[in-house]
Amino acid sequence: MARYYVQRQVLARFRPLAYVTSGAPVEILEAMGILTLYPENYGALCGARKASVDLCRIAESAGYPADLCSYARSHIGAVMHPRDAPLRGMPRPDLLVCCNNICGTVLKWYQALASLYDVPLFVIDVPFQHTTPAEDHVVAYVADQLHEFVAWLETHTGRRLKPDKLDAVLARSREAVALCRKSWRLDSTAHHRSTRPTCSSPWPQSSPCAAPVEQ
Amino acid sequence: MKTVGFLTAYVPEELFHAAGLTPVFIFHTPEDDGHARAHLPGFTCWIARSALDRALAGKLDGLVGMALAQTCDTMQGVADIWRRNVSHIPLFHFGMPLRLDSPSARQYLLAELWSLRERIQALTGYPISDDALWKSIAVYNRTRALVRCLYARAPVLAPSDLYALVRAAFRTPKETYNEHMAQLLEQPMVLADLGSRGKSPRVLLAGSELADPVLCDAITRAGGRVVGDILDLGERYFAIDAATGAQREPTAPDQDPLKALANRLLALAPTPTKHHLRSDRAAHLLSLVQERSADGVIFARVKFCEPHGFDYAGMAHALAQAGVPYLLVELEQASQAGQLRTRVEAFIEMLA
Repeated sequence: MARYYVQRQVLARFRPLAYVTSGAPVEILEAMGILTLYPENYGALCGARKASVDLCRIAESAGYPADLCSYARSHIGAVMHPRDAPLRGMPRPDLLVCCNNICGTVLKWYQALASLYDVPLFVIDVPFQHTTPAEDHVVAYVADQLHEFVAWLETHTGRRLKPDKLDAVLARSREAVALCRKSWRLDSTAHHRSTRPTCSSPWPQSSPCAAPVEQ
Repeated sequence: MKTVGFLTAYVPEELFHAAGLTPVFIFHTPEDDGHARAHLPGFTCWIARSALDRALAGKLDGLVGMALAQTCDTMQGVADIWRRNVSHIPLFHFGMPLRLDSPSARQYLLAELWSLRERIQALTGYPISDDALWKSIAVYNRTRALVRCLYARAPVLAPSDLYALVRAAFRTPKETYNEHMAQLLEQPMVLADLGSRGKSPRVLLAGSELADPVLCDAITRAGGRVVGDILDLGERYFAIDAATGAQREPTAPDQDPLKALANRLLALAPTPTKHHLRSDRAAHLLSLVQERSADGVIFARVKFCEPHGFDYAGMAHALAQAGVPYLLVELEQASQAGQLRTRVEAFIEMLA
């Protein structure tokens, strides 16, 4: 993990860097050559390195209540005191991209980051679907926002999104999802034999991005 | 009278009213019958747990429906829990967009309002005409105007009286409320003499829902005055009428009433659950402090409320930088009345 973050830090000298939420449409940024890093991932790293308690205390001293999401508190603590954080914190972002399909907390986390870093923030609202399939107006809303998002990225980075590059990245994403599902099925425990994978499958079965399910 | 309960600050009440239903906010109560524990962990906010608990205990069986707008993760979860476990009270979920600053959000909001109208019509069996909706908008605009007048009198009202009257707007049929509030506002209101010595400190309130009665009572007993608030169901809720979205403009009959509702919802000062590119709640709070000559701010945060919790840090920092005194009180199901009173009274005395 350290190598990964150091690599990103070096590359960020030459390419724009965006913090993104775990469910963000990262393929668009990848296709535009924009680096991405995940504060949620960094929060997990802080936990694994047993640094979270101290980092959370830093955030709490700054006024963030102790009952808030600890991923967020850890990361905010690391932003405020990078010297006390694993890897001396994440590299500073140029942009923030927040998509609420993972949870509602990320909106508040990223609003806090926008204030702390004073960098532009784009919020993509993906309405929670209490019933499926998603209605046409919901799909249209998300699609419209993705168009806005592309225009916003082009304005803030000077880079253009090329459709063929996006197609290539989407193909790699689909392959990654298919391989992920295949690896879950390799697990020989009874639980995984009897149930479909439930963790973090980013696309529903009906999505064109979803890999065909192997029976 | 057929009553629809609701939670959150973004339910378009007028739609239910136009269908002949009476929307009533389901305020939390201190009682815990223990039913919600099977469905929600103890670290969810009491606003949500109380409503679910009361529903599961059969205390809300008089409702013909329950409405929730998309706001936070907790309410999002409650919508599904309610559908599965309180199926005799139909749940109306309203997809208020997260973003308030884009044309695509407005289009989505209009579609959600149209969908909600269809679902309400399916419940009642009657169509909601545009004419009926315009009439309901007029009734609600009247309520909003009266509550704005009430807030204008806030400096001469005991805080507990002010918020009892604001809370009543959420629990009373609007026609009845409008009639009685209009009569009340015609009465001269004099500064309540609460035996306080010298100046009455002027405070602003911030937080979710409406001020806790214990909190209001503590401010009142200490001789403080509430001169305004940025509470989710406080001043901001009544600040803008449904019409063109601008404050206090008359209804425009040639517009689609759903557009009038959408414009209003988008124009309201955002609660912490929403995002607007040009919204800065901390800056708004600071300007209100100046505008109302407030001596301090009391943040009344319901424990485990993430949106308000995150916003508190930024707003507290802004107040500290500006040298404005503030106090944070965290409200829970088990009211710590004694401790709350002591802290609030000490804060008010410090301001005096």
